[in-house]
Amino acid sequence: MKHGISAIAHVYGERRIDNVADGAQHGFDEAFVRGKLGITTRYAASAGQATSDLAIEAARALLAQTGTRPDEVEALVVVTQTPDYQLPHTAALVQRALGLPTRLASFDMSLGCSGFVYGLSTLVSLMAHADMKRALLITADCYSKVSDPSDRATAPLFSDAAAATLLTDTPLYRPGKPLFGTDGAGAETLIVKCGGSRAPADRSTLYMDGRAIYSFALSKIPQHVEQCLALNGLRLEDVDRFVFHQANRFMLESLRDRMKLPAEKVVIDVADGGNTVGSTIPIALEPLLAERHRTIVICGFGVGLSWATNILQLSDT
Amino acid sequence: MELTTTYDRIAALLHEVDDKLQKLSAEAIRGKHLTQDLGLDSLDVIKFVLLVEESFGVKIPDEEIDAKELLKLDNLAAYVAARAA
Repeated sequence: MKHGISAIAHVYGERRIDNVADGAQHGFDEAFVRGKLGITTRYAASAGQATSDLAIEAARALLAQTGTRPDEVEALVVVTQTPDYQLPHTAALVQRALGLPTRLASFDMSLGCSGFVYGLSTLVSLMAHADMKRALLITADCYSKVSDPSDRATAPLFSDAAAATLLTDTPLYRPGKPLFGTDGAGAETLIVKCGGSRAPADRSTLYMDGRAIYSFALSKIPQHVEQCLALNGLRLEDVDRFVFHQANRFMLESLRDRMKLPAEKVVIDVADGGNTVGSTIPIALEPLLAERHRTIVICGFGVGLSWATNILQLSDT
Repeated sequence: MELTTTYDRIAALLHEVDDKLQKLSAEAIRGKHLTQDLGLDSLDVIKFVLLVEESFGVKIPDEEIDAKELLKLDNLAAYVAARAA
């Protein structure tokens, strides 16, 4: 694979939330919020902020940071399940706001916590197919717009955020062979049952069966990661860092313990920001890019149920 | 399945949930409630129930946990002993 990741930037929603104080209002003590969830600060979009606003802000930061001109971008994928509108696609709104060229290939992908890994594979394949040099992969969601702030199952976990990833033909990290998974039998374990064609006028909010999601992750993901590594001719010991979807500290420590992974190799980056859905992996990857680890595993899992794993390898050039 | 063996296995699974529970014996967990007596929080309970399901090869639906009061370990031991393969 020629194409891969060159740089990442991210932004959070404008409203900062002290999760310890907020958790107390839901009956969670400080030890539980800090120690178990591991999330001390969350962020929510302001009333005037929508998903595209976060996506645009993250992309602007990325373009400025990398010195990339808007007219150099040839493709854009926005991974979101909380788009600004049912139609048009959010990527079109981002294209307009950033002044990206009208020859741009752009589309949205409806995926949540597995979305970055899916989006990366999709976009690098498109870039190779169409002989492109630069593309943007944006993950962006505003769960605060579709959730009930009084719901104890979801309130202390999620943040609104966007991450923009620059993909190029001269990358810092190249993806390996991906491995995917889907099980719609678990569709109702994480769901917003309104706004679509089945119940367009309903006003229900985000529902999450935390136990079902935990069981799914612990039973599926360890074997999936090992299968992906085998597909790439690698073993667990060959990996320098594991970047799982940053659901919460408890989930990450459970996966780490079950897979018997060294603590220093498993990234836990939830204290400031918590669960940002599809953006957790690029947000956790961003500081790692400068550390130049040779082999990194990325693994997303969640709503769908959907899961995806890949490896990232440091480019030699 | 022998109920005594079931208590031994449940005690061993509790050891996996939290270091604080390492010293609990099969005898010590008799008559105990997971949250009220042993201090498990909601996430510990999720982890523990998954371990029980995997270890005993039984599926424990949410509604059964409430209806059969399975957070009481005596009830849980009887429940899995009756259903385990």
